Amino acid sequence: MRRLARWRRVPWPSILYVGAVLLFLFAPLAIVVLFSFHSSPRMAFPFQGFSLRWYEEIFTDVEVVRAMGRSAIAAVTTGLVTAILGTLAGLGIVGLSSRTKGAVMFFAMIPMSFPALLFAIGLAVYYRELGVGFSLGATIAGQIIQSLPFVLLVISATLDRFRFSLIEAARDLGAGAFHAFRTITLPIILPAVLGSMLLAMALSADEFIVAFFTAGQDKTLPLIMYGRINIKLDPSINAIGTVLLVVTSALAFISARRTSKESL
Amino acid sequence: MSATPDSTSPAIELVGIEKAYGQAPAVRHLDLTIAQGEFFSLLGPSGCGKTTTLRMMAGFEFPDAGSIRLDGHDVTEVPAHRRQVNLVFQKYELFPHMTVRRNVGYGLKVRRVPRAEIDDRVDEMLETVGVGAFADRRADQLSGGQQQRVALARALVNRPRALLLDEPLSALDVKLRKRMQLELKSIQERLGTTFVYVTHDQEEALLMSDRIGIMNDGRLLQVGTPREIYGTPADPFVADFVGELNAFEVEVRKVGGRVSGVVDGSPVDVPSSASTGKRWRIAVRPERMEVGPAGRKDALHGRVTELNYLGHTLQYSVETAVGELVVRAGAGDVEREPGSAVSIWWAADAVIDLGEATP
Ligand SMILES: Nc1ncnc2c1ncn2[C@@H]1O[C@H](COP(=O)(O)OP(=O)(O)OP(=O)(O)O)[C@@H](O)[C@H]1O
Ligand SMILES: [Mg+2]
Repeated sequence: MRRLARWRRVPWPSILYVGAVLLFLFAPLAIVVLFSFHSSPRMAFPFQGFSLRWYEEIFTDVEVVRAMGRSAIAAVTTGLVTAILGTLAGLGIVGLSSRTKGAVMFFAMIPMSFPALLFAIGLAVYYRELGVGFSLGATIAGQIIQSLPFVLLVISATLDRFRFSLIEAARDLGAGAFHAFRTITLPIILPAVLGSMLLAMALSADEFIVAFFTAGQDKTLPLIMYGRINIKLDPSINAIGTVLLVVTSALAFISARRTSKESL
Repeated sequence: MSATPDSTSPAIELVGIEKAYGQAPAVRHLDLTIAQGEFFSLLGPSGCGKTTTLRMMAGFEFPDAGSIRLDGHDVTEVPAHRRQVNLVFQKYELFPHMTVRRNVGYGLKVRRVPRAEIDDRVDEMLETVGVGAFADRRADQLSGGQQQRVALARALVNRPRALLLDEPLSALDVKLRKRMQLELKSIQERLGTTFVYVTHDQEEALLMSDRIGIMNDGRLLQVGTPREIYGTPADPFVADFVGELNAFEVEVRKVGGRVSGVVDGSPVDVPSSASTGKRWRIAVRPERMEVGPAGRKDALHGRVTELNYLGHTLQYSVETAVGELVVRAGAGDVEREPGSAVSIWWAADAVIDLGEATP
């Protein structure tokens, strides 16, 4: 009831505007999800009935299942590595004077504003020069570089709010430096660390450009989808797309919940 | 950690401590000995170096020169986590992600005290400070006063050789602060722990302490009991900082065979150190001055400019030949209206010596 009353106070043009945005944003997604359950290979209305045939198809398709495995490995590795690196970097940066800190953060944020296409091509050329073959590992390394700034941003914002005098209180009670970190700092920043890890996983799961240039034979899920769109509009990509959508939005959702709970 | 309690040594000794931050000195040549079981307060204005001194005792700052001994053992270089003292922080610094019980047990757990003993000691300490009912609440769900008590319990449960407190009551409202002052004092007496208490509230220091050290500008100016500090301040700063003061200059002369200060033609008592022919600065506390009808011999004469009723006292402002004086009288006394002429006098032992006047 309360909530309804609050909605009534919103002027109707705003509601219309937000509605239109949501429609344009989510209509394509809705269509993908809808046709992933279509019983006919035709991707057009009228809708002829529900079936799980496309899901059956992708989960029995070795190529797709392998790609899912690779994408999962990439997401988990990227998440873990960026969370650890981001935490260490954040702890290193937080004690710096604000000028040095600004400079360090500026350089650390460069990958975020760098065009992904240039970065991916550069990375591919670089790998070739080094004689490193294109592989899943090569892609993961690139994805780590790409998502690290996001993780660092979340973690350093959290550390900025962390009261380091709590560490003094722990030291005063007899805790060594590492013990104080493990029992005080870590538990307090953990929601942000986990949240940013999930964010990095979501970024990795549907990452396309770096994978396209560096994965070689180790095709991840987005690459498989791209391949199938290219050849013919295969209805199974709707099912793959829906799986990807569910996984990434679940990760993003949990991530947002974790980081906002922490900032309470 | 290996230091065995040695009750024949002073609890804390600071010898020749110097500490500067960069170029700015924060503590200058400080010598201080605090006895076992004493309630000692460091009192001084903001920025005088109280916190710095306390943090050096705790092991968070290290002196540039001098040495620190706890129970007779030199701990000058020993870091905080290996000193047997605990600090109660001004902002409490409770661990927000832990319950009250885990906060209080933290120090014991770090020191690997057996689980069962931790539980017993924590429960007992929570009762002592009066927050037993909140043991399983999260520390960030407590009121300021409750947090204050938990912070105290968290430090005391470790049975520190000395407890260091940095303005622990300054975040509380006046009423709660007054109650906590009495409670802190009674807890200290019950446990017999040495307390080093930093405050800039002189009333608080006078009320609670066995002895007080007055600091200004990084220096320790005087150490003494509240009575000594208030009654015989060693120095004009101390006199002015602790309690209110009417300070003025008198002409020192021999009047009828006695060395007296002459003000406005009337002789008043001066300290025995005063020498004839000089101008001397003396001071008298407002409550040691008496106010009465005009015309009294050997008294100052003036006119009431203001009368304030403070509940338990009457406060007069009186215009005299030595300037405006503040005088306090019991609320039951005869009230003298603004404009009326009055005499002001005081007992010989009420005079505080501020030394020869500098021209
Ligand atoms: N970490 C620091 N770096 C530089 N200067 C400091 C530092 N800590 C304190 N100071 C300076 O040292 C002097 C003494 O500070 P301190 O904190 O000991 O004062 P205090 O008596 O506790 O004052 P307050 O009543 O305001 O808490 C001050 O001039 C202060 O500016
Ligand atoms: Mg201070």
